[in-house]
Amino acid sequence: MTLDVFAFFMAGILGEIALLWESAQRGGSKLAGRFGAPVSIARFTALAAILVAIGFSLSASPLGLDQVIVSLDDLWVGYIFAGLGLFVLAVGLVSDVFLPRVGERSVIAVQILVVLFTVTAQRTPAWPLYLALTALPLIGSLSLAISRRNLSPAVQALVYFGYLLALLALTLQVADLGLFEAVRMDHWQALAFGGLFFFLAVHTLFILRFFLIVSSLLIPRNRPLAAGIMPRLFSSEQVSFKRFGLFTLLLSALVLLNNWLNLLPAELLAGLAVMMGVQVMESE
Amino acid sequence: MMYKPQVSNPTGWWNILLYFLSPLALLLVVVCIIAFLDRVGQHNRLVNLMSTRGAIVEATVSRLDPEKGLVFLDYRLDGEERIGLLYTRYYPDALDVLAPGNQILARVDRSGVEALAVWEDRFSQFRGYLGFATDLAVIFAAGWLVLVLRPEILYVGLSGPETTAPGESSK
Repeated sequence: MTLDVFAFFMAGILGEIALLWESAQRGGSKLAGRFGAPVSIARFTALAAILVAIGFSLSASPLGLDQVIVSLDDLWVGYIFAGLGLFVLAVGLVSDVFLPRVGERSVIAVQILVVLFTVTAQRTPAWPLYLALTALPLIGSLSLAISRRNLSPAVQALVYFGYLLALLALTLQVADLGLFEAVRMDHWQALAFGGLFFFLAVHTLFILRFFLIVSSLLIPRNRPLAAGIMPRLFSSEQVSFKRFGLFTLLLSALVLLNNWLNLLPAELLAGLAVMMGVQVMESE
Repeated sequence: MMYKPQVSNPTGWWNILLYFLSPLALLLVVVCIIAFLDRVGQHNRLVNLMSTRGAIVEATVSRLDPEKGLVFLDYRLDGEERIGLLYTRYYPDALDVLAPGNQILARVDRSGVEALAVWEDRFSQFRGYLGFATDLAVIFAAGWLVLVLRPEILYVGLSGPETTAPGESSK
């Protein structure tokens, strides 16, 4: 990608960092609360990153910077991605500063969106696996929602794991469809892709950690440990059914419309819809 | 009031050892996943290369190297004499079935960049090969077991509730 597009990509990452940090603070992350900036500064940072990217791209053309191609072969880009990789590894393995709190309905919304995308978008050879990763947990989530029972921490952990599996299925499809290797992107696609890249990277790493946590529940003496952290990750308080219904329908319609009109890469829109679903439908 | 989960606090040399091993186990599990993804990527790259740029040629087995797990093939492509390498890890019985002088159909890289040759009659074995994951699976399983037995390291940095015990919040 060109240097100005790369600026938008990095602005997308920075913006998503700020938004997720804010989400984690609202979700009760002690680490985000202790070291994080107040909400207003996080939003300001996100906006500033976007404005800087816009300013950079406007000035890039007279200076010829929009003709400069950057890639992972460039040393300084390599350093940035190596640093980003270590940062994501650290936050994924030993913190919760970028994990929004989800509820039953936001989990269902995410799973519906990913199933919709899997079924309607360009099929990759492994699409049955991706469908299974999402559709089976969706059936479980729907039956629990319909049963209207209070979920024990162990069941909450399984529902949350189902949500992470949906994100994993989305990540794998996005990778299969080549979005991570896309060479040509416009500025706004790069901005969206930067945010999506960071969101999926953090959650994909956390899937591994959470898989290990769920595995440890096989031993009964470990269950109180999981019970202690589930309120941070999963809220029993639900967003209103109206908000849930409206957003899920709207985002699903957007995904379907885009498949028909081909305005944006389908995998990019699906990723954005999932991110919006999680962060807008965050339980109060 | 801070919620404190009621967890047994076992001592004994076995548990202390597991406590010390658990951070290493977590890193090992992560490294295993990264290595696995890298190997899957490499294997898929080879499969795609052979599927899209591969040329099917009549090749002659020139010699076998059981120690290195290789079968050397001589073939001719675009007027050029070339040597291809058939890796026996993809076909466990290759050293029993093939002998010098045998002729087989092989799929080779038309550009000549890759020396790899794939036994055309057994392409599905090559495509479905998962042997690169065996050693990683063993290490992953060992790390997984340590973390299942002593998962406390997984909870580092995860916030517990301030005042609410599990099960008290309701729909």
